Amino acid sequence: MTNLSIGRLDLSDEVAWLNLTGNASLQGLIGSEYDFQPSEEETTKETIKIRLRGSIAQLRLWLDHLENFQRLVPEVFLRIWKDNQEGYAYARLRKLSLQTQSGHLASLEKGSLEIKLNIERDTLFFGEEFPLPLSNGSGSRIINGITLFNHDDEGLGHDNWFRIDEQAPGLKNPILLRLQIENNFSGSALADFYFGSLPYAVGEVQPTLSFEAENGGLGTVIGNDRASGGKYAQLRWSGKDWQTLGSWTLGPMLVSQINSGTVLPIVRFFNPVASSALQLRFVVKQQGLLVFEGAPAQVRPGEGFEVLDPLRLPLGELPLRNYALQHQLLLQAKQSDSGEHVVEWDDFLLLPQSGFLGFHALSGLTRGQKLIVDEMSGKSWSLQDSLEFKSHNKIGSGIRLQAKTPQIFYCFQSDAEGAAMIERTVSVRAWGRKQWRLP
Amino acid sequence: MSWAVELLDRENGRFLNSSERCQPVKLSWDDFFGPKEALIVCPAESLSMEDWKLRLGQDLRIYDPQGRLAWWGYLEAVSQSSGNLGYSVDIRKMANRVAVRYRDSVDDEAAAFAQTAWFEDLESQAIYGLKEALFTLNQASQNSAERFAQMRLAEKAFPQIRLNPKGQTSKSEAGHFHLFCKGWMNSLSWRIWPGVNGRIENTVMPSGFQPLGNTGNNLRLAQSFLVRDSLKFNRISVRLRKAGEPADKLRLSIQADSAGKPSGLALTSVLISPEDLQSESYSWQSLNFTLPVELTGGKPYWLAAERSGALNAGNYYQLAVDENLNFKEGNLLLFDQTTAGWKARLPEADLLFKLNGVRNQMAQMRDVVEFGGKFLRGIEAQIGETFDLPPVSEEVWDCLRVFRFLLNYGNADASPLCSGSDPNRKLQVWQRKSASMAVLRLDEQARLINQAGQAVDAPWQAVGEWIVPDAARPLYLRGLSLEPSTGKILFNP
Repeated sequence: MTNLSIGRLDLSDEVAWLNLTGNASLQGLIGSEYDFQPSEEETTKETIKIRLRGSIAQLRLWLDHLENFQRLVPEVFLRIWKDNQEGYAYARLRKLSLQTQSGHLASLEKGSLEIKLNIERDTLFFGEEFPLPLSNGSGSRIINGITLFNHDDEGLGHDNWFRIDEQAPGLKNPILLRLQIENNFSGSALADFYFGSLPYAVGEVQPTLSFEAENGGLGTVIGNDRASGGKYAQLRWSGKDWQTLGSWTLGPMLVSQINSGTVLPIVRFFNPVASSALQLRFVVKQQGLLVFEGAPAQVRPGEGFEVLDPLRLPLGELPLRNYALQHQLLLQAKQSDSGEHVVEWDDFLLLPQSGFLGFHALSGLTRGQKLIVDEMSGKSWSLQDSLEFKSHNKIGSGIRLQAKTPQIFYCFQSDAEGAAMIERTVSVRAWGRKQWRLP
Repeated sequence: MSWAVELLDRENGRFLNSSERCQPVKLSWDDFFGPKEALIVCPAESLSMEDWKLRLGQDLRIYDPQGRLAWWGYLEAVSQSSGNLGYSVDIRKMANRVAVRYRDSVDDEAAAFAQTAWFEDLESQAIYGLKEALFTLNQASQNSAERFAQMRLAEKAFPQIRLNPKGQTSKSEAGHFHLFCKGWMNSLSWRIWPGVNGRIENTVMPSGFQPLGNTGNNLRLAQSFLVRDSLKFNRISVRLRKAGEPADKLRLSIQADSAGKPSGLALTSVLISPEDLQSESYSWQSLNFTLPVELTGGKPYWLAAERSGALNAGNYYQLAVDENLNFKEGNLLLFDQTTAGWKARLPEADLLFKLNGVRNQMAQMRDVVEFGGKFLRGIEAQIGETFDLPPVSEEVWDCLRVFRFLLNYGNADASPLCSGSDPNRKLQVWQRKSASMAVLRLDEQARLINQAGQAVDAPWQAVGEWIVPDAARPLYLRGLSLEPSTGKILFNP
């Protein structure tokens, strides 16, 4: 018999669940009937009939429990035991109403009761949480915290990304992800930061989405240990027209891997810009011809980085039966005040947005503090010594993990002064929950 | 839907509310305000109406699911429906600096309006920022007008939570807070433009005349005046006639002050021909200076007149004067050839004259933003050549109205101008693009398509652009509204 319960995930098992089948239930349960309805919609409407017989006190206890759950929706879940996987599957309840039969009061007095639960649940069931192994240049399949630097260059472990390899090649639905980001940088607190991910096909080259200023072919290249790759670019110009700061080629495989998704360009300055009149944008050329101009972003004076308008790549909604043609990406600047303009910049990241989360700092994370973002609950919170607090406001569409492909996650970090020092680090752990339409 | 709403302290960017459950319901943008209006719904969580009241006027930002800052402005009003009751609070009608214009009922001869001093509530200003209101009373004494101003200040200095009839709230939104927001450009409406008087004049009825250049006692004439606002003066008028048939011309010049007398050096000048004058009556003669002259506010200057030729007892000029001394900010002197010095006219009088000042349109827009844009961080313009215009003298217009009035002139090429506040709260002004620059297309599903053939993710970025509907002529997108939850877009609402 199916082991069926409703209850909460945020309490311990002994007090969280009300079994609707089996012997381990409250006294008075005669039987129940679950009208399971497979569905292709986001939510599914079903009924559960519960037949009870016992003392009035026993029946009252049942009614009190059920009415309490009714009030707690959507923090209430349906739970089913999966014999084949020896684990539970859960689905969040969106609606729960209790329906009694005619003659309910008389029946109650006689110690017999039939209640129909009308439920609307998330169509997808999810399973128990399991740790996800993470990999990058600093190590492979790490589950106790992988280190991410705030840049990506040739230095050992200098990676601002991690990879999660495919988890379940046959699984159609994405895995619900929980990330824990711990600030393990001993300097200034972690303020605003961004996570973005991109799945790519098994066997394909892992996409590289960090680009160095010194490889843009323009300006003066200056060596400095505080710059990503040990160099940054300085560009001086006059006038009020758009000035190209550099040009990079996005190869056919990389452009195709983005697969009509968007990337969020984040430009890091080596020295912050003083003027409030500077704008930046990306433009795209194909075969030498300008085919797209991105929306200009107004640079915030004194800040160490700027987030530009997202780019959707490849251009033109291609069917991608073949690889897309390479794109030439140009970073351009325009400054409307008079005199000579100077931009000293280090690199840029095209943060992929197949999944995207931004965190705007309320208080930030000091060393040792952790931020948790949980896709199952839709919540994010922070921890210090196991005590919860809110350090960041979450923006973005959310991150999902594709079960059947590898997926790369990039991170960009900044501090409260708006600096985005390359030596910043965070330690990341991840857990997942598989999802099924038919548990 | 995963839009995000943030409410921040407008001065230091600190978070004032971090609910991740607030969602935008309707957003709008146009080519005057940039971000124009926003309606947001927030679940009833930890904040009360009293808490929201203290957050009015603060910085509100809305991010789209891709992390793009899509809308920015300030919180103007909050409402909540709870059961059969509705509550609301707003700063639309709030005023913490109040004055009254009134026509003096005691002084029967007072034609113009007088204005009381400004009455201020500094505590409210510290919380919400300075917000002015100017009331008008058609008949009042100074005392009653001041009393009226004090009463209005007491009534309006702080926003009040009001009890409203139950609104049209759906069951699912009962108890939720509705936040009404305005773009930062709208904060220009918080201050009343003080008006800049572009005319310096004494145009009362003549009550005397002053011959010029018929004897050595009146070789030259000079009238002083005080410039209140720095302006470029380009036109002068005097009231005069000719006596006989002078063969020379009358030169009018503007001179700086030198120890209470004209300096003797013309900053600019103009000549009046005798052919343009009548012999029998005094007429106003108005001429443009050859070169407009910049005069500095707060400084005295002189309007000097002299013949271009020699003295002539039978053929000369006569200028109308005011012996009732209605002009309070200057005096009339005559240059005596015998003593080679300036002396006062007897009896004392003032010249009848008009001086017209202008100021560049862009400079006026800067003045307005500097005066009224206390939350704004300046103005930046790329609009080409602009006009010299008479300064906006209206004293009851708010700064937003004055700014729009100036913008509506367009630029010197007769191109319309657009504006909006950028995310750094700096006002941007630019020339409207021409239809030939249209790069966006509107497809059959009313989707905006960019030059690369992709649906535009951020349609509000198309405001101020021309779009080309399939098989139709380009149309200008001056504004749009968006419902983020449904994706419904209204073009030029």
